[in-house]
Amino acid sequence: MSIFKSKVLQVFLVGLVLPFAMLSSSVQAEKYPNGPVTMVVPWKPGGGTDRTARLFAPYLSKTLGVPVKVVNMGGGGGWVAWAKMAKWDAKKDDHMLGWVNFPHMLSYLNPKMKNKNNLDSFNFLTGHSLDPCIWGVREGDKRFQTLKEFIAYVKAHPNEIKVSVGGFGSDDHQAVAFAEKFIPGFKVKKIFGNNDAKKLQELYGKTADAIGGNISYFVPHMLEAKLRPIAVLGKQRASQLPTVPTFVEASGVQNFNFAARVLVAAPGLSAEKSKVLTAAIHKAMDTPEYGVRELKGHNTLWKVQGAELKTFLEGLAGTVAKVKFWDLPK
Amino acid sequence: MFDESLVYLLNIVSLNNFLAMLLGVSVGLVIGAIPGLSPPMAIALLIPVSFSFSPETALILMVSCFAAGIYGGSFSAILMRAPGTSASAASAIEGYELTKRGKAIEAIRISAFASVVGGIISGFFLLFLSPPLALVSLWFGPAEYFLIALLGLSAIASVSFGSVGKGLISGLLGLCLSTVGVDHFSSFPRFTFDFVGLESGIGIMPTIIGLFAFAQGMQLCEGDPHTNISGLKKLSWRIWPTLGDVLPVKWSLIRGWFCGLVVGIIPAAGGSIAQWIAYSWEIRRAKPGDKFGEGEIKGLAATEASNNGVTGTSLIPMFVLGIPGGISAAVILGALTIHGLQPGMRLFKNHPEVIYTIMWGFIAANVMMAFVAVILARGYAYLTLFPRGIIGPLVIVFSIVGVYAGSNNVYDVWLMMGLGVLGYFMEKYGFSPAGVLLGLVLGPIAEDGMRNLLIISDDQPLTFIMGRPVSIVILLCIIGIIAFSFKKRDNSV
Repeated sequence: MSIFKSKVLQVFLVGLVLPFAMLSSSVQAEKYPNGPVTMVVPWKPGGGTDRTARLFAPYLSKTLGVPVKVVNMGGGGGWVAWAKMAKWDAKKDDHMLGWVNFPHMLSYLNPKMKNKNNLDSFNFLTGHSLDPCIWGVREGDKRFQTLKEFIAYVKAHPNEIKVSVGGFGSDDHQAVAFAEKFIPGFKVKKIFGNNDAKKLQELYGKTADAIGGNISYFVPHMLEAKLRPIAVLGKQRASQLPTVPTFVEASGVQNFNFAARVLVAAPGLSAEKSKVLTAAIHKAMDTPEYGVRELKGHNTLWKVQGAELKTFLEGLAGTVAKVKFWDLPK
Repeated sequence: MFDESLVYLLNIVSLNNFLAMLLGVSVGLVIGAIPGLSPPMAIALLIPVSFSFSPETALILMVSCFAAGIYGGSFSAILMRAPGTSASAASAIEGYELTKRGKAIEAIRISAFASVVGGIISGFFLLFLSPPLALVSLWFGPAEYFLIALLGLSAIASVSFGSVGKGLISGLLGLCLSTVGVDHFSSFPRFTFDFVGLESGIGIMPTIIGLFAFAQGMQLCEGDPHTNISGLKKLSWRIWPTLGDVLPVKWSLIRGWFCGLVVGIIPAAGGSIAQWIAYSWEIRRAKPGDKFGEGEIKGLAATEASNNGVTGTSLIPMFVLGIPGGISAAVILGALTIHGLQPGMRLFKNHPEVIYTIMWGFIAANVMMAFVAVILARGYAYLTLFPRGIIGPLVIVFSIVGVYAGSNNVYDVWLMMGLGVLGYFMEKYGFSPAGVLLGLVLGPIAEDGMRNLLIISDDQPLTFIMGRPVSIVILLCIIGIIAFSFKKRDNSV
């Protein structure tokens, strides 16, 4: 009998090796993350969130100490990926991060969507960026160059002015829907289904009279003196546009709309692991080089977490549920 | 502007810019040739790579990748009937038929010439005529998009070889499929049957891969597994196009380039529309003896000329007005802002050295593409010598992997396979997969255009159209095409 075939020796060897193996696995378990982190973008390549994710990944990789891989999972207006994020397993999927966009994700409130998920389905780690909506008109349009003039003109000519917005239920459509609901006599025609590029094409080509969109994309057009911003739909004025009033300043009506990006991890992920991820995300956001790159893209970073983030999102969901844009006439 | 742009020609002669071009062209050609992976994806992947580059080198990398990505899509379309991009789907029809007749290298020669020269001409339009041409893009509103879509749909009748009725049924099926998904105008999920994956509609990429590549894989699995696609035992080394290749198809090339240059300026139209318009134009001009649908080189010349003719002019609205004409241009715009440059006329005034270097870089990348592409394509063409028993299953496997790699979405894989089976039987019974694709691509453009047209015209679309000169021109083109088709039919009767 060969010495290595002895059962005793086998048990002895296993016994000798096992504590080391356990020690090494426990050391590995203590280190988190201990492998590549996957960051899921709920859109196809090429959009704003995709750009931000790819820009952010190398910096997050440095602060996490592991590679960060960006994966696009488009479809269902974001819900193909979000439905998966809501079902991530806290143990198996503890190396997954995902991007959630607001107010897009609140489309679950629309009863027609028959979506069973809600805010509680997700483990929101932290806000990443917040891009307030703006309303803009053609520079030099003699009818209106301020929000006050715009509202007065629309009231005097109901259903004449054409506003180019994104899809039904997008943040810029909701802003217009909100104004129609809360400003008496305010009624415009909406040109739907446009991305930011097409909105400008319609505005400059005089198919549309005004656009609703987000600040980051439109700053270059304001610098070109072609697009005149008439209101920022934020709680405060935007740092990039200090002379442009907020909607409430110019009209007396609170109309707060924006596109926000929030990072999520697997629901039920331990508090320690969530803390590690959030701390690394914030550290990466604080990297000066990254900050400068986002600044060049006019993207405003937004580090909000915990109870503050929860209250913010619940408040937003409450507003959307109140406006019920899906019931409004087109 | 002419003198000013010439000053910056020599800026591209630097090792950094040369390497950026080579990297962009290589990545674009390889990713473009893989069905499922698209040029925007290739460009997006290169953004982090470009962080440490100067703005002009970074942008040369992006535009090189864009130009090469569009051309790369044609390799797989011609050689395997598996279009790598939506802009190369029409090339799969004549290109693959040529491959089947043992003329793969001839097809590659013409496709390389048409694409490279188309890209260069388009690049010169970008360089010298950007500001005035950018204004043309502003003439297009909902009415014009609706009519452009109708113009494109009129191609269905041409590309349905054999029975026009079956072609129209195919087109109608495509239009019906295009209505699946969340409605932009009411947020109502149409025909989704509670599947989340269907909420964003039937994707163009899974459709192309399913109808063309997967169906082709199934077809290859039939018959003798030891024979190959091309019927050849070895490939020719005559890979460079000669005057003898080009002269017989010169008018097809010119018409293709013209279609590409014009359609390129219209934001959101792009290569996938230009190639069908160019292709149907060729078919309408068919002479006795031309074998469209059975490997007619004129058809391939036109489609290949048009999809690369689009590339340069499609960047014009992006650079001059900040209005990207497609997803690739939008990614390039993102890269531009990350490097601290803002699109618009101020870019031309404040940073002429950057913008003109990028434009010259685009032209130079097209020249470089000629050399890299032809050599790569010949390597790719070896696949046509492999036995069907190997290639058939490989095409099926790569179709599945390609779709999943492109979207990370299992729904898309199922969808692709379903459409693949559909495409297989459509081919067998004389229906037109190209018609389905055209309906699917143009349906949403027509629907959004029509519905927005109704909103802005107070339900008086005809009165509105009559007040817009561009709309009238497109309308006249459509009427002309229909009248021409009837006249031709009467003559043949």
